[in-house]
Amino acid sequence: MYRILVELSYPTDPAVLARLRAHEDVPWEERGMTVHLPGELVTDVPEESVPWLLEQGVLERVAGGGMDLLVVGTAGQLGHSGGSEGLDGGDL
Amino acid sequence: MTKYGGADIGFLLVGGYSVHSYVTAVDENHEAILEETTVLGDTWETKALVNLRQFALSVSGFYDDVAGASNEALVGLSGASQVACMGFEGNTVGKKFIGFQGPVQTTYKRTATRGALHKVAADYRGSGQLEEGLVHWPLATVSGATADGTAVDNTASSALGGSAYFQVSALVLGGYTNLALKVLHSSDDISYPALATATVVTAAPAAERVTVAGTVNRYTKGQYTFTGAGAGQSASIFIGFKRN
Repeated sequence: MYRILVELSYPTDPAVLARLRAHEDVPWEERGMTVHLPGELVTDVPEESVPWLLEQGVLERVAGGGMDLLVVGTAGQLGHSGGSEGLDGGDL
Repeated sequence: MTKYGGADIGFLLVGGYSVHSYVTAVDENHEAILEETTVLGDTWETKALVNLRQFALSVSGFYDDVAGASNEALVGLSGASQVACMGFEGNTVGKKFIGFQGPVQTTYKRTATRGALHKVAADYRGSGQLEEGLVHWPLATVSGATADGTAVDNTASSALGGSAYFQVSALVLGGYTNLALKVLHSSDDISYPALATATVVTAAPAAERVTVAGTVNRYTKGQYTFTGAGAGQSASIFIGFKRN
């Protein structure tokens, strides 16, 4: 999990990412860019971008994803399963 | 080598005013200041650079009193330092433009002649630098909620920052809160962090030059976003970037 430090946009559609990785010229309209603002926590940054985004201070790695979910959400917002209000490790 | 002519002047924007459709001639010149170093015994004058440069800009064309046209753009003579951009090679992403950091208008001349349309002329003196960048969003009217421009590929990153130029010559917010303009950059043409961000715009005309330091990645592109919600929005925008 990463915390956004500088506004960042990237595509998340696997088909689009595959085309971009093949160096295909994909029009912006087809990229389906998602925009994230500083402070947001994300898990779907394209893997090839992560090293240079970390190096340039655009992202920071967040240790202990479960703890960070507790920081950004309330108990009611956390994922759960089977009707239980208890935290489910599988959701973290 | 490609030659260009008057038809290739894609835009001339001064302080957010788009004046190229009224202008018939534009003259840009910049010079390096020299000091004479001739001394006794010399038989030919010698000169040396003093590491100082200056620019000047002159425009002339037709008088037009429509809102946002040549008269409104030039009559103020406010003495304020403005931001100007001129496209010498057309109005296409990747083409060169000249960015003027701080031209200050010094004269405005209106000429009326029997049997001819009224003419105007204005002179600007530089208060800052002139630089040659690349068009990242051609002067155009946009009406979507947001869009990214075509990426400009520098083939490599650079480490010395740059200057972004933003101009808005017309704006209808249609209920949106403001218009945000940015230059984004990327190492892989996949993920794009913001590189340079203009002050959000709520009224036209508006213009701004934003400098950035440090690494500028290989790919750069312009982006506009209407912030908030609304309908019927539109804007005439230009975005350029000069990589140092």
